Amino acid sequence: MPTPQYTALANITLGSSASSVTFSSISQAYRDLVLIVFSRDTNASVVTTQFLRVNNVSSGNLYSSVLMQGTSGGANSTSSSSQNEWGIGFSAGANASSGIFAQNTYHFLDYSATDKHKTVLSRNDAADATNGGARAAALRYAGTAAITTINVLPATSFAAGSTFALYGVK
Amino acid sequence: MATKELISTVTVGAGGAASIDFTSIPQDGTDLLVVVSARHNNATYGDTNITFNNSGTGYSARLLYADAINGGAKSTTGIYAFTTPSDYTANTFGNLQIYVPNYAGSTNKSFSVDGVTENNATGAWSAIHAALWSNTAAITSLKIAPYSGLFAQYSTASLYKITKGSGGASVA
Amino acid sequence: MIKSMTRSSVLTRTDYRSMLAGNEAFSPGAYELISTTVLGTATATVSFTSIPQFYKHLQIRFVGVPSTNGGGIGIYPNNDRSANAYSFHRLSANGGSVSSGGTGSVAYLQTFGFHNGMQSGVPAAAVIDILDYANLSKNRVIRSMMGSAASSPELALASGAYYSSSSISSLVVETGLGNFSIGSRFSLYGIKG
Repeated sequence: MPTPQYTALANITLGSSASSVTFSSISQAYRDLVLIVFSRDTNASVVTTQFLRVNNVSSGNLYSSVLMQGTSGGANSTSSSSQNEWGIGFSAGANASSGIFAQNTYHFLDYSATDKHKTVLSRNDAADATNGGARAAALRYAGTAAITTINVLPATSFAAGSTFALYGVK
Repeated sequence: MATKELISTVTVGAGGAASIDFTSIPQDGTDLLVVVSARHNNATYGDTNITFNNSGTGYSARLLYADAINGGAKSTTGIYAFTTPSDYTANTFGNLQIYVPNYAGSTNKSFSVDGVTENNATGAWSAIHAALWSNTAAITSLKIAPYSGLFAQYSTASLYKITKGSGGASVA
Repeated sequence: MIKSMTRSSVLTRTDYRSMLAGNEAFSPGAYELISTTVLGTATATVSFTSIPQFYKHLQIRFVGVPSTNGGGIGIYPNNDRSANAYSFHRLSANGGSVSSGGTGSVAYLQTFGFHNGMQSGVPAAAVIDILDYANLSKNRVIRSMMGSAASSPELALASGAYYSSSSISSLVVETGLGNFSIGSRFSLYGIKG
């Protein structure tokens, strides 16, 4: 009988605010990872930024990205290179209506390979008409080490109720 | 329990259908994924309505979209969730994905909609949406319907539930 | 009425009203790996053949490392190179602007390479969904998200249609310039529906 190839690896729902969420000792038995983040931040804003790092790396200028999005300012695209983290995701801020969260999906493709830089495809959505956006992005970590840790970081702190779920794809 | 599990598939028969409906959605999953291959019998309008729990209110979205004709892209508000209209190439259906995280929870329901249409010509609509249903009720039903007209025969939608794992993450 | 299975020992006996005998019901997953190719030799073309016909949808996931700058990516169901077999459209960006475009009646289905294309040595990743691939009453439509955060970056939501009454039994992923380097990885998944 075929073995299903989409496996739940880890999950956390915050019962109180947190300054970061980390997935460590990630199994290397898969080809891809899918990270779903449903987040709200204590930052005094309606929509704020969510950050990602891998392997606890926050130096060396190894993170690059390109995005396209629709916002209240129209359709636009930006890119960044030589950063020390990715700042692509959305979180709803403390000034958003109660019970509103932003959602982010990150596909880490070939995360366990050691012969190439790491590429992530993401969809990041905050539905607020004025402050939010519908965004797609491609991210690159310019390191060949396998990803064993994913760090998800807020602008200020993640609010209670935020959820973080990690899945493996064979 | 499998992580990604098919709940059901609906296929439109001869004569078409005003909507594709999923009811009695099990509440033991974490996220919902809907995959839609659809076409409708209305020319011009490619818009598709997405409705939870038969509620007609509380929906909003920001989207990035293009029609591929004029070379540009735009952003606007509202849910358009394009499926293929009848004035596009015959027998050609759209390709749409709806993802709803935490569908059974007590927060307002954010969801993503990514959709493309196809046409053997220069123009075809595509869009990504950041969408919201401002309602904290658990989602027990989901309806997809064309803005006007009927879904054509062979239109199909499949509903999947994704179930999260437990533990394995640390907070600081 | 079917008598349920029982578990007995010398000292105890338990009667069950279900053939599950107290076990959890098996719920098969909807997402299955059909095949994966990791390149041991650089090549411009990767093929998935003998695709089972019993799934509802297909998904391709790949990370291609190009050997040359500027190449695009094409998808060829059934390795069909017929004139007028395809149309394709895109919503894409290069880090400076978002644009769109498309064409019909062509012999190729392009999913990437609308701006800068790939950059030598920098991975380009894609998730491609093909719905109802075995339904002969429909032209098959592809939705692709693909990107490369290279120094000359590109990101695209692309679509394409295959105008054929043949079921898709094979798929070719091809770069139009140079090769995919050793280590590039291509996976095909079947999705039940």
